[in-house]
Amino acid sequence: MLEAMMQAIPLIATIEVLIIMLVGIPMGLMLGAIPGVGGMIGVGVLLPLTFGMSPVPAMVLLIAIYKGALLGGSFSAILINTPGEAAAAATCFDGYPLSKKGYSKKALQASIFSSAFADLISDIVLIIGSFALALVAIRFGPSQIFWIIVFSLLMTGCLTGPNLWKGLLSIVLGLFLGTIGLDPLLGTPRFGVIPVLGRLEGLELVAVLLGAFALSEILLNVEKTKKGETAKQLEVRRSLGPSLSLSEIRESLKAFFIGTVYGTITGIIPGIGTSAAAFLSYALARQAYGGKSKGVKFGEGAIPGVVAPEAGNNAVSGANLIPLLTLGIPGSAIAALLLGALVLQGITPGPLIFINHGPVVYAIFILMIIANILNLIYGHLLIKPITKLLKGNPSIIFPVVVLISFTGVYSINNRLIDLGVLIAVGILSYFLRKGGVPVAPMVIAFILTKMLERNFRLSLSLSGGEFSIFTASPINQVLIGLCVIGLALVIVQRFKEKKLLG
Amino acid sequence: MRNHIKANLSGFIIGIVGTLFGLYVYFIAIPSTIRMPTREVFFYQRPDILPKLLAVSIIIISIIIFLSTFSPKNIRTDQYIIDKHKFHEVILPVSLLMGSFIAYPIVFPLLGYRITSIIFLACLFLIFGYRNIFLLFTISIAVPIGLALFFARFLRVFLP
Repeated sequence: MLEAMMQAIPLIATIEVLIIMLVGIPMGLMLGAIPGVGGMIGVGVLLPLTFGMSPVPAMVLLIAIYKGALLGGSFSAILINTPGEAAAAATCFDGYPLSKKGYSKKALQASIFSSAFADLISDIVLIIGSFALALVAIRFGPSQIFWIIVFSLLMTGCLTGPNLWKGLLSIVLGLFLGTIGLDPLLGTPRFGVIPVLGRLEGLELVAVLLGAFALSEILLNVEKTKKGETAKQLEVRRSLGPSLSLSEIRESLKAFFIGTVYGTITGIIPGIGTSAAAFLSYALARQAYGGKSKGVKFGEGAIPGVVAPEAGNNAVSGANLIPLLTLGIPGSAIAALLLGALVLQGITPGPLIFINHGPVVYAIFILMIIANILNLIYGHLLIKPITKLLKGNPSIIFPVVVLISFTGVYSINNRLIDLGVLIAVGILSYFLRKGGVPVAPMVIAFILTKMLERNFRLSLSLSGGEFSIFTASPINQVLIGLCVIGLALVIVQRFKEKKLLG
Repeated sequence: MRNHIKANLSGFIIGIVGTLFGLYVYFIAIPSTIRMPTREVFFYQRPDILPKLLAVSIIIISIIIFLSTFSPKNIRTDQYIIDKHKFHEVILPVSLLMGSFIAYPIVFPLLGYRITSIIFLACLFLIFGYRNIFLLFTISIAVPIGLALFFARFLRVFLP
């Protein structure tokens, strides 16, 4: 581990990496602050542009955008009551009331501090956790990997979105998209409705990612732009008010720890995501403080009400990469995009990643920690410019984003069919999202299809067609138990939610 | 019952479309597009095993979503309900945007990257309601040319 870390230092001590870090974080902050754009579009659009770069700068650029955007999302939540990122929705509860009272700066600083430090702790958990999990995962056979994928898919499908069945439909559609192209075992073309489609090894990952996240988001945004929903932006206040005091920081420490611990745990489990972590951290902090802090009720501008959700959603980001790096399983939409970037760079995530690409992985880890420190600095420096940016018209960005996506996807293989896939998946995702079907599970399932099918068929080949291989070993039994318990917990939770709603 | 369907229109539509799609995949797409190996293979080696399983799953889940629209507990205001007055604000720009997306790969081989992208970008700006003609033309010309140069110089990708 130490040796790999030493080998990582020359990879990060370059001018290119330094410039990327210095540019990437503020870019992410700006993108994250603009409602409707966010880190997803930022990472998605830059993804195809990174394939000409070497692995460390490419990954650092995307991670810097991601980390910056997570923090940037809270700026618009606090200043205009419109979260730039879905993850920052819970920050509106107390952030905006603080802003309305003339304490925007206090709320923004609370968000910057809690985000940067929670993210830092989560990254340390990632470094230790991923190495430990990789040591265990290296012993897994095809049947164990099959069950881990099933568990991830179940959790992602059941926990994303308000309706369990729509989540599962999204998973099945993703698996279906994953079967298009050559059969992984026999090489037979599948679903060549257009002949060229069947001859592909599979649909282009970047085209599916950008279609599902960027294009569908832009289609949804054209509605909002036309409906005039961006008019809210005029409400940005001129005065930012006083800074956060030491006693307020001390008062918020409990909320910070609640958010960080809960966010980190949430991040490791695939499918839960940043929004749920933020909302639950907020609810837990509210309970822990007895509904008010320093005489201010939660929901009316309590500073711990900003700290808890921000710590919660940022603590997800590091821990979320543990299943991605060690098992090759993306636990969230953004992890799926990062997986796409790793694959473009020729890095296959999995238990062997520390052996095959140790220095690159450790370089990414070190740069993630530096990115948190830069987030802290840039967050403070960019308060005023972002406030000005929020007064502008964000719709100018969307057409440019579309063109970059189209150009990027075409340039990967110089194939028009990839553009067709991008557009088809984009339109499909738009209708699915309009109908309340989440698209993140679809993309995660799409990515995992080949792995799932390969391990399923390989297990049966090894056992000579006997299904008992899936239940024989104690690890498999534990994994089946996890699937059953996870599913049962989700169903119980859904019933409770329905009862609560009357 | 009509009110339930109206309130859960997305579930109703997704249920029907999903079921029809699943049936199409199972009975038409799989037999016509997946060639089975000529030699005898084990069942788990068949290339159609996963697609068939998925088609059946799509049908089952779609039917459940369809049936759940009739449940009295399942009431939500639906995004699929379209206000007639919103045609110009929602349906028209979304359709135009989708139309221009589809037109791009069709026109691309005929006009090449630069000209197609300039026209495409200008159209997108207009759809998004951007009306500053000077900036519209400047950005529409500068961005595609800038991108083409960036790809050629830094990524060694030459766009046609």
